[in-house]
This record gives sequence, structure tokens and C-alpha cells, in this order.
Amino acid sequence: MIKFENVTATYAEKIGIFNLTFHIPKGELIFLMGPTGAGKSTVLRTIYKDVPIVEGNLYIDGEDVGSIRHRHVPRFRRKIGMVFQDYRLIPDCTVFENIALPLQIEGKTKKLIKDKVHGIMKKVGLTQRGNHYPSQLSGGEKQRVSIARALVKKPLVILADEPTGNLDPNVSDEILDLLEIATESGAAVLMSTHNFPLIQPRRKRFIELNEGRLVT
Amino acid sequence: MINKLIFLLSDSLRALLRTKLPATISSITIGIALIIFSLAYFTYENLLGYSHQFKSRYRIEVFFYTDLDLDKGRDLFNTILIMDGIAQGEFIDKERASKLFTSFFHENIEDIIGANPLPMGGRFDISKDYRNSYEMKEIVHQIRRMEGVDAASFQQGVISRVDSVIENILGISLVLGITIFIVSVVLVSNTIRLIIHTKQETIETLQLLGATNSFIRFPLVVEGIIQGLLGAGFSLLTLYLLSSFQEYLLEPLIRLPLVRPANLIMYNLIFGLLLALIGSYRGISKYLPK
Repeated sequence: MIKFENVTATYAEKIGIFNLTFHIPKGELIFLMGPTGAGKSTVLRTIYKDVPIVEGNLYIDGEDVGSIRHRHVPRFRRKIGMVFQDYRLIPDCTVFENIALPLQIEGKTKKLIKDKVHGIMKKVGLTQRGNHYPSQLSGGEKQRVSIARALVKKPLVILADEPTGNLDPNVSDEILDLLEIATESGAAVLMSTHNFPLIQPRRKRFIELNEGRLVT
Repeated sequence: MINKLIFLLSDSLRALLRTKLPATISSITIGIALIIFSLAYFTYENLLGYSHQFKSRYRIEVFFYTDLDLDKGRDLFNTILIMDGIAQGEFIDKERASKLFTSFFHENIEDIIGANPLPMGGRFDISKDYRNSYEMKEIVHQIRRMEGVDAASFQQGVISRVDSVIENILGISLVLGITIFIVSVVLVSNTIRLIIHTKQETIETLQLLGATNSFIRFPLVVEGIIQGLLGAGFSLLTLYLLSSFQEYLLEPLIRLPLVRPANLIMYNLIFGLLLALIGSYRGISKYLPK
């Protein structure tokens, strides 16, 4: 599903990722490990085409990311669900509206949006929070909304950038559970973290980075 | 497509309601700019009206030789009448000249010198496009060259001065109007840019979720249009109150007939929308590079 072939991507002189090669198959959750500044976020930004590929090839569901034209980036990004450490929820929108946003962007009908959003809200345990605004939610709830927003469009790939960075251990575990559930629908999930004790019990494959390169 | 459009329109309205204060500030800024602009335009139109009114009194006076008989005098008058730049004229025969003399000096010339030595002639009004010192000078030159014409003149000194004063006033008004418009555009676009700046994170999030630039831009432009219309409404209301105040309080004191341009409502709406659209586009372009 996600295939890196000797990818080098930089956003400033000598800052970025270098010669990365790895593969994440469909329906798998993989952790991206490494200290701050190791290049974890750059890997994710390269996947959603925010950092240009200088060398090598990156394929998402068989599509060569490097050859996607600028005007096709929005369409490409709709294949990807994103979860961020700072949640990136729209403060003026309710929980329901935030989760519905990717479907609104795709121009889905009102009925379909309603059905899908209610379904996903039930799945992540936010049924009672539909009319609340982000400012009325706890950190864990905000991250659930963020995950629900990523899942609602049934993406091929889910990228989670330090999604547990601002959460306490118990809530972090719940978030990981939700991301594992996402793989059941066949999505490839790539989650960056520097919290090794959190992921250790999960016994999942992880990729370790340091200074933009794979640690072998 | 329709679902998207309905969502975007309703989102624009909700966004406007959610950001009441900045939207109100923006609308008032547009409104104030429009009020200043309308007053400048109103002053300009009235000055133009008064200058036309004043210039409509521009005349050329022509005197024929005294030995010309009445028929030749009439022919000469008609020849002048069909010249370019002459709007209309009044033929003055000897009898009429004598009456004019009496009305000016309160004495009959025939009683003074026993005969009427006054020449025939004519008074000519000038067509609108020729009401300036240069054109009138040209006409007078042509008339003077005609056979039977003794003298032709106009108040060149006064007209030159009036022309220059009017030109200066209108020039200054025009420069002032353009300056006000540019300042308004900058002021309004900066206000709208500030509003959009507060939405910068939302714009980035939408881009990451796969929203196209037009999807992001549409509600902001609709918001801008609504703010422009509200600003125009605010301006028109204020202008109406100012006009009522002027009619009620000032008109009995200062008898100055003022022309109220009929297209002011249309101009307010057009400039309101224009200011808001330029402002929105300037604001958005910073965050949505092509």
C-alpha cells in the first residue's frame, strides 16, 4: 500500500529524509520511531505531498506520488486520513461537523453524511458529543474526533503524527486501539511516536529513524 | 455539486454569524469608505453642475458696422448662428439696441443726440463643448474676419480665470477621489486579511483534508460579498440620514440647491462589492498561493 524506494525528500538544505526504502502492506499498523528531529514527520509529510521528493520513488496504492501534479494534490489527499498531535479540529464546528468535513469536501449527500458520521461516532464512543464544540472536549475526546474524521471516508492510508503526544497513558492506549481497529477495514496505518514503552506491548513492526535515515 | 454548493453557502452564512465582531468591523470599514467616497462624488457632481450652470452664461457679443442695412444684418447674424460652437443667439437691431441702452443708462439716446447711432449686432450663447476661453477665442477670431463685423468680444479675462479655477477644483476632486478609493481598498483588504488570518489554521487543515482552493475560497468570498453589501447598506443609511439632516436643518438657512446623484445607490452597491471582493482576494491569496 505504501512503498518507499530509495526516497530522499528535503525541505531545507540537508534537512529531510534520505534514501528510505520500506513497504507497508494493506491492513497493517506500523510505528515510526525515533527521537525528535529524526525525520518521522517528514516521512508523513512526504506521503501527503507536503515535502517534495528529490530522489527515488514513493507509491501509494500503486500511484507514483512524485508524478502527481500540483492541481491533483487535493484529490490525492482524499485517499489519506490524517491524525495530528494537536488534533487540528475546526474550532467553530461541532464534533459532528468536524467529522463530516471530509465527506462535505467530496460532495456527498446529506443523508449519507448523516449515516456515516453517526456510525463512526458510535465506533469511537462519541455518540453523546455530536453537538459539542472542540473547546468543550477533553484531549482524549478531541483525538477521537480527529481519528473519526480520518476514518469516516474509509481511507486507504492513515497517517498519525504523534497522536498520543498530548495524552496520558490510559487515553493513549485507547487511541492505539482505535488505530488498530482502522486496519480492520484494510487501511495501512503509519503512526509516528517517540514513546517506545507505549508501543512495546503491541508487538507490532516498527521503523526506526535517526537523522533522516533508517536505523538498521 | 449541488450538495457541495449548499454546504458552502450555508457554511459561509454560519461563518459570518460565528465571527460577528470582525464581520461587523469589516462591514463598517467598508461603509465608512463608501460614505467618504459618496461625499467626494457628491461634491464633485455638484461642483460640476455649478460650473456648467455658470458656464451656460458665457456669451459672445458682436457689433456690425453702422452702415449695414437690416437685411444684410440679419444675413450676417444667421451666418454666425450656424457656426460651430454657437448654440443660439439673439439678433439686436437698432431699435432693440436703443432699448438696451435705455435699460442700462435710464436715458433715451435719441433724446440725447437726436438720432440712433447704435449699431446692429447679436448676442450668442455658446455650445456646451465650446465653453472655454480657448474655443471662444477661436470663434471670436472667425467672426471678426467676417465682412460687416465691426467688433466681437467676450469676457476673456474673467472666463480664463474661472476656467482655471474650475479645472483646478475638479482636478483636485478627482485626485482626492482616486486617493480615497486606493486608501479604502488598502484599509478594507487589510481588515478582511486580518479576519482571514484568524482562519489560517482552518485553511491549512482543509488543505490537508483534500479541499481544493476553490472549496476553501468560496465561503470566504461569499462572506466578503455579504460584508460588502452590509457596508453599502450602512453607507446608504448614513447618507440618507445626512441628507435628511441637511434638508431639515441646513436648507432653510443656506439656500443652496444640491443635486443628489441618482446613481449613488448603484455606485455604493458596486463599490461595496468591489472593495469586499478585492479585499477578500488579497487576503486569501496570501494563504492560498496558486
